[in-house]
Amino acid sequence: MKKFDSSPIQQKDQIPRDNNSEMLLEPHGEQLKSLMFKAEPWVLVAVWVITVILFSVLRPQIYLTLANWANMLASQASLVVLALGLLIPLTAGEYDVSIGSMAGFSAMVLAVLNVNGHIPLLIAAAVAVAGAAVIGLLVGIVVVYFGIDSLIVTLGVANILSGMTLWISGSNTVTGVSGSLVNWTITNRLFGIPYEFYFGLLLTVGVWLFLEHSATGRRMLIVGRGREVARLTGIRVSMLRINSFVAAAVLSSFAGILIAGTSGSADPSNDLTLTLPAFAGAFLGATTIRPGRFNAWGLFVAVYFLVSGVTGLQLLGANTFVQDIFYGGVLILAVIFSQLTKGRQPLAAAT
Amino acid sequence: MTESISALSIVGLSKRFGSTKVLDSVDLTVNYGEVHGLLGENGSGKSTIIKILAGLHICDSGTVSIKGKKVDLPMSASTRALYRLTFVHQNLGLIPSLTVTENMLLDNLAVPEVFGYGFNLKREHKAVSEIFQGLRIDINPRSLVSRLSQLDRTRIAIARAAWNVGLVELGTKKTRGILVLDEPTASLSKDEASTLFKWVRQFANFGGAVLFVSHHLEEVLALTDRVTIIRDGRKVITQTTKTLSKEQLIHLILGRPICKVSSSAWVKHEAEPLVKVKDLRSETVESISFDVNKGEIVGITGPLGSGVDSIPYLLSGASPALSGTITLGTQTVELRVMSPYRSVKMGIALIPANRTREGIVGSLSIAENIELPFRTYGSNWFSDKLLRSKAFEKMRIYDVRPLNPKYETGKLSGGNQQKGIIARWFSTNPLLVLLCHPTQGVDVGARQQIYSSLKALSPKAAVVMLSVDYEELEQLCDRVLIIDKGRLITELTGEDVSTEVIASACLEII
Repeated sequence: MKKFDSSPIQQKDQIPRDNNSEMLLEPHGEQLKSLMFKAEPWVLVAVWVITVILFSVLRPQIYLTLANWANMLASQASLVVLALGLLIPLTAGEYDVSIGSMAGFSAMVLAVLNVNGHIPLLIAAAVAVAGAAVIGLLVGIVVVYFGIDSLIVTLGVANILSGMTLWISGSNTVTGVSGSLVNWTITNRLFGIPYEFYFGLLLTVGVWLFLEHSATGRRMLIVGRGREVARLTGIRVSMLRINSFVAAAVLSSFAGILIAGTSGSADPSNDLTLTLPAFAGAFLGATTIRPGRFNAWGLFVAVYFLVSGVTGLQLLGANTFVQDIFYGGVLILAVIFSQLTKGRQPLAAAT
Repeated sequence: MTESISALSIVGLSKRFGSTKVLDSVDLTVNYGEVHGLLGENGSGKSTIIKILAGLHICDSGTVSIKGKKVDLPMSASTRALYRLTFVHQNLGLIPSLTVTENMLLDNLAVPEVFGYGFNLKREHKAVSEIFQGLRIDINPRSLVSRLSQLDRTRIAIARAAWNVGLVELGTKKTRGILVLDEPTASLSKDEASTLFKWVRQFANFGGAVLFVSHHLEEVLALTDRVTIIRDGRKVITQTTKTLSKEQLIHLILGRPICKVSSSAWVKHEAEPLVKVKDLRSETVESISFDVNKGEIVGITGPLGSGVDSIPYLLSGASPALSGTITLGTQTVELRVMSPYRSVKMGIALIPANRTREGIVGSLSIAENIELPFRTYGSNWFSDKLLRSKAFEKMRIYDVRPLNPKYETGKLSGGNQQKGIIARWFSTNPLLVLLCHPTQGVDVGARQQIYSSLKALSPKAAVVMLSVDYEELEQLCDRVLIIDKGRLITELTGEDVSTEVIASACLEII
């Protein structure tokens, strides 16, 4: 076996030691390829800018106003947070399709406790987050110790949570959530943009630091890309996989709290519609900034690119259903795109 | 040779991989009514012949005839079914999640001409239980293969081959099948093996042809009528087995006379050994104990299916052990509760056998692969720059090329990937290094660098090296332990650590 390998490897070994000389030796086509390679992280950013310019030119009076931008930036903050939650299990090689329901459930827990139970806002929020963490822990334990596909487990959990949301709310929208939550999310503004947006921004920074600048985050990446390699190098694979579900649940509950704050209420029916846009954001984000990896800034760009497009189309007179088609289509296109960029597959979650 | 039409006739079979000729114009003839042994060292080319027959490789030149008729290569499943050419490979080819009956039918299901298009599960269960009765096998055809022991699985694989080849209908008509057994006894007990041999003999007596591949010379001597020996891709000889002794066989296989193990006992070091392994047991090994001193490189080797491959994994907690302890300096740990996390903390480094699956993550950068598992930063937080500069240093020391920490690891040559794994572990100053086939699929230049890295590390650590490359064992090891059937058979020391003696010792195992 080992003998016949030798010749191609020897040739490969003559790859120049120095990165710069490698560039110089590349033929003309290769140079173009390497240029494309360098541009790749910024393609989506450029597309976003073009989209914004396009709609600004087409509908300058409406699209290019502070009110529109403040609205766009704030309204997507909960989606950013939700997708950030999804990013962590995706990095560890797991799917979590219960994030949307988890957000809806947390919003409802908070609203029911605060409105119906007259429990102070902070305590209600703490209960919602802690409850989410416990559910995330249970999901992780079931996935890891019973060896069940995370897609199946979280699909089941999503339905359970939706049912529980209807149950605790009596299938009614619960209105009248504490004014201070509404103030802190949507009413109070910095530079004309509601606080909500900055919460999303802060958490983006946090998840970015965690995934790219902490040892734990890198270990999670290794678990996702090569579980056996991770195990043999002494990484505690089970613990990290379980914790990824806990992190997803906690971030989802943050997103739920932002949703409750934005509307001042909790609607038991809107939870399932949140999951797909979060997946679209996470997968589209994996094609930019750090292509080939689920990354926080890519996600941030992707989510705001999506909303810029959808808002623009609606201003041009498109129906609201365009949003669903847009998000679904983008999810598939994003995955195709990342499969085409050879050798780097964020879909390592499969095994 | 007296019979006019031979069952299987291979003429001038050649095959090259890259620039290496693995088969050079090999001829092989198997007659009806005979058991024909195919012998050769690891890498001699005998498994390539089997793989060409099974349609897994395409040969460069040469012809294969069955019943005197030339067949198209690669052979299709229906051709094999037509001529009743059946294989039992060492990995058995069973699907664990299916039932016994479904597995028994696997080969035929692939060939509608044989099986037809309908399927009646009840009828098939009944057919299989009748076959099992005939072969005196006591397995429920409805049970899942995953629930069965290794022994029962082997029985099923062989029963399936026997069925396909027509052995089961013995007595009713003369069979004209061809059975290829590729190391079938590796996971069998002696009794099981002899039962199998009775079937095989019977099959040949009724007119079937058998090609029997094994490294167990005793089995070959007992069972076969003729043997063909392959060395370095060339046929050495085809001869009647009766005229050969075991010593002659070894001589023919190795191409040099047998070397006897000189019985100079190993002189124990005065100092307490750094590593002590006591009474290691698992599903693959039985009661293995040995010591390794600081500065010593101990080789472990054994034939296919000997269980030797599992030892490094058991010692590092990567595979579960049933019992046993490992002592590293002053710490003693039960191997039953050992985990990779724990062994890494203790200073045990495992360089695994399957580089691309267990060693590196191809889609990530060299820096990330070398810095695994990110425990040397003092804090949990670090920058990409620090990661790269740390990796860069190690890449320079262990000569990982290209010297670019951002480079995708999957695009490196095998040698550079292996140097990366070596860099990852050797830079942590491990106390015990477990190397599995460290130079498999590695080019000559990288191999020398890996050897010199190992020599440089050696004075500070104890090293256990699993390898089937005897020259490598001779070159590097102070001692070599030979394992077979899960037991420690021989310990070679001093002068005996030579390619010839190791090869002889491995072949003499029964």
